[in-house]
Amino acid sequence: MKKVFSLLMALTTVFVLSACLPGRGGAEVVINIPDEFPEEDVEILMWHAFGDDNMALLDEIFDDFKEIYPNVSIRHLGQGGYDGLRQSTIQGTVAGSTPTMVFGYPDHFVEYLNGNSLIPLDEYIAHPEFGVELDDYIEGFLLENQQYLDGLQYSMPFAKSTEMVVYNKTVFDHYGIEFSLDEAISFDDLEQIVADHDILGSGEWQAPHLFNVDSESNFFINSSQQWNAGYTTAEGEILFDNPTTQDMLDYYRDLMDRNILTLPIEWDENYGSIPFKDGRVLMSQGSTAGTRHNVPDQPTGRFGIFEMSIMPVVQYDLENRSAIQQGPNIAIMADTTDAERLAAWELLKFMTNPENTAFFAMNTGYVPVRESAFDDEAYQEFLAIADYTRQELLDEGRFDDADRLPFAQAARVAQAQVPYYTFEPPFVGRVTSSNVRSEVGLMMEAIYAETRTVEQALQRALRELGQ
Amino acid sequence: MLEDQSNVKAWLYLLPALILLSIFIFYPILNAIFLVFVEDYNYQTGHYVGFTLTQNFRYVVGDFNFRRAMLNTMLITFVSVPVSVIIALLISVWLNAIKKLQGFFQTVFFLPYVTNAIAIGMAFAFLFNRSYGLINWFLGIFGVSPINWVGMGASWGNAMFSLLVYVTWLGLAFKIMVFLSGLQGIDKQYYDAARVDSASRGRVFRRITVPLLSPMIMYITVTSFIGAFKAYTEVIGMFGERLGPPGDDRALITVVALVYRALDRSGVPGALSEAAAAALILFAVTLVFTYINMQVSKKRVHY
Amino acid sequence: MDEAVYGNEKQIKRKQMIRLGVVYAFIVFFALFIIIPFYWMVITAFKTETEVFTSPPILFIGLDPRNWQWGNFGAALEQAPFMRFTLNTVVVAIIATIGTVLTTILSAFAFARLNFKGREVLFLIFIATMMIPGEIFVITNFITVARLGWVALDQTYFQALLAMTIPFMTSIFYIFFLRQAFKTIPDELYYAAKVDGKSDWQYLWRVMVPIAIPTLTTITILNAMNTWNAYIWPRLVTQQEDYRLVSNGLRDAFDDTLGVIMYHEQMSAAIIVTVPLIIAFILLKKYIMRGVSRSGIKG
Repeated sequence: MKKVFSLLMALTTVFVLSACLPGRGGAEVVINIPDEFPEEDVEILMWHAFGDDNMALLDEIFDDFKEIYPNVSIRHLGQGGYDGLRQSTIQGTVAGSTPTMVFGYPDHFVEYLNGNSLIPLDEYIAHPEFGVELDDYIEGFLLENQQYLDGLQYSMPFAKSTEMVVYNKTVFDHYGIEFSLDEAISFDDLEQIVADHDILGSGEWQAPHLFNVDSESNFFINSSQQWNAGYTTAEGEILFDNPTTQDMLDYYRDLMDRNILTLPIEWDENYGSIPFKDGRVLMSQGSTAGTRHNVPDQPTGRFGIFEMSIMPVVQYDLENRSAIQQGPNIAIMADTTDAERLAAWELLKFMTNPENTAFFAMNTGYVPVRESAFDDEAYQEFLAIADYTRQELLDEGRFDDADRLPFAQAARVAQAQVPYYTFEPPFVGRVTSSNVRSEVGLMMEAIYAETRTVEQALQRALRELGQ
Repeated sequence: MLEDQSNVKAWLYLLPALILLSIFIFYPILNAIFLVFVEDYNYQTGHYVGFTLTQNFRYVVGDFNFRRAMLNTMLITFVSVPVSVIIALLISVWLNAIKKLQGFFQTVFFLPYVTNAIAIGMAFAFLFNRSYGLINWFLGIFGVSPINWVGMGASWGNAMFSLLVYVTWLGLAFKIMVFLSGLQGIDKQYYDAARVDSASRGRVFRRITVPLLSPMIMYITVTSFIGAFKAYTEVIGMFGERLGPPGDDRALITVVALVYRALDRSGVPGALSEAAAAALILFAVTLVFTYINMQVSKKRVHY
Repeated sequence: MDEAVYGNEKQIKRKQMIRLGVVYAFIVFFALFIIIPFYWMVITAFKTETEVFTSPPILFIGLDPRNWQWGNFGAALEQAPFMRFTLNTVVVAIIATIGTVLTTILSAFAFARLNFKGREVLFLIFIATMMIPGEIFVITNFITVARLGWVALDQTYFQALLAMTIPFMTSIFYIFFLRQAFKTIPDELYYAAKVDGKSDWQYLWRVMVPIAIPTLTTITILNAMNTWNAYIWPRLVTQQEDYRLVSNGLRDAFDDTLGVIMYHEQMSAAIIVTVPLIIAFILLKKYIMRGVSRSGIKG
């Protein structure tokens, strides 16, 4: 027995000691771009969090790539959602099994950078032969990927989504109110609508609520931008402990009192699409990626199957516009050979070239990341669908286009907002940028539910964030 | 000599389990203990700044949510476990006693085990819905006005009550299965003797069934308490990441939720140590209660 | 005299009927309570997408089977290679369960029947390890499994199987359970076997295990269920979609771009995946209910 015990002790001591050995990550990254594209077989492994539908589209793009570079094979593996992807990547770094390329958001990438597991792309971008002109990429999207503390660029935008407002065209037509695909309205305009028309209520052409916002976090972050109230910095400073933010929240609380502004929790929902289709709210601001869910299909709703249309995100100050941008980016990982890196870089460029980014966008609801994508012929045709109403398209026998109308409208709105996209800087620490994002969302919920006053909710959020 | 032999023999029987447990249970725990005492451990590189005795514990205990997490965890543990055990015991005993449809009901009570967790969450969200939920409908028959159980602005008390019902429900299937298997081990002779003595059902239950089932009752009680201390996924199942009704985030936060919150930042130096610290604090509390639990049980358990 | 006896018997019978009625009522009440989510799962599987997202939720989808959305099942199967996942899960479940049952029997025997120094202390240590939340183990175990070379990027199916089964070949949870069951077996049986010249090993396998079949069956079912529900670990340690298990398919295959889950398809898949389990349970449950008469020992 003693022998067995001492054997056990020896085993565990060995294990404990080996626990002190560093993980595989941490080696310094050296960039060495070959002069010529590799001729040997190269395998690219890609980790992602897409569903099967989106992946199928990417497969088409990969097939085209293979025709140009037959020696490159591409393999991809889904890791559940983005949380699972992040966990797998971090675990992979420690265990020494990471992929060639990984999708993600900048706040994931900064975590990976703590393990030195991404390569900076600057030399690839600037390379005389393999480089790329950054001018053609939409500036806001690029900036989001250039926020890393050491000033280097570790990721490139892949597909972006933004927010839009779906509205009940049938009801607004009744009141003679028109909105535009390209021009945003303001909260003043919303207040004006309610003042001029008897639109709130439970009558025949009325609804209990006017305007829903799906993402509380986005709403706060975007509004902070619209009000110039300050949100966070790339160093992790929290800026919204100020009177402007207080005023902003008081203003929105007042709108909530008047049933002008609502959140999905009003109906115990996560999104406003169901109440919107049901006719319980007349407008809903949400992601362009969620277009599909806002197409009216509830015959038993208050307005039956009504006509819907889309317009840009509501602004506070039309002189200082802002719309949030979201959507995955791509990075190349460090535990790779030079050949793999170059192949991955070429693939990255290919996936985001104007033709492919337009293709992906058209079929998903994401936004292209290249300005010249908007000139792509197929994309132009697609966008032009939004010039018609559904009825007009049906009358002309363009049934497919009638189905694609909402997506075309969403794409037009996204294009209109290009000049003023905004994003939040990523950072890590005891408090991360995604912690802040969650916290402000919860704060909005508490303000809406009136479980806390604006003052209390703000203080509580700040406290949770260690302020 | 004889003793040495039986010692060696026993350890040989234990060896397969011990080897596996050493690698996959003891070693991670030792690692966690190591993590608790280092500062700013970077999980991805293995690099750390230095050692610290209490910093990580102070992070956890200093968190504003810590006290509430402890309170919620205790409440969940000390309410849902006894209730669940008693209900499961009654169901098992009575299931054992009926002749007709016994097999059918046994399958019915097993179904929660194979029901998709998301479906369970959705079903309970529906049950407790303030406008059209089954419970409010039922209460409405007695003239009780609709209660806001888990909806926007629901009170902590209502939300906690709903959670307790949910947790109790979740625990039933497993307990019933264990009790049923245990009831088979009771020699029919005892029941025959009791029938000859025409003892009442209550007496049979208290004097024969419960004592003879006591090993299983103890097992269920100890493991259920330990499991309840680790409550977290149940809260997520009912309330999502918010851990509370809309507007009252973290109302039902538990200690394990603190662990997960730290683990979520595993790429950030020092996060894992915080998670380990929270886990160890919970461990200490659970250990104390379990020890008491087992000492008390020892007197009541008959083999 | 006879009439008095008859009268009594009638009274007793009525009491028994009432008692039986109460028992059935209690069981039916709880059975209904228990079955609600299962019912929910089933009707959701048969709804259309619109019906799934209607609010207030639809409780009855009508009794006409022609209105039920059988198409959901086909669509669900297309979303992910469920046959493959189910096969993987069965393989992992069998291996892990056999391993678990074996190590559990041996260890429970040591704790229940053998006297050795440090028994109570070791048992308490074992129990103590249950008090630490599972995620803590995942981190270290992943590194361990990586060091063993089982999760490299060019992982083979065999290596994936090793990674998914070896860490789960024993469980203190079940050792405790079986120990309790073993401890209820009377000492007399043991002494009688010793007198007969049987070794511990023989006693264990010839006497204790057969008596503990209900417990062992329960352990088998529970272990299989755990494999069915395993999600995080299998996803983490597999490097190919084809190696993954059923829960991975169920949870990952059904959200669209926005992350909204297609519940009707997901529930259809859940049912498809669940049916074999229910069948297995129905076949095995009689072993749980089987009691072994112990009256044999006396005499």
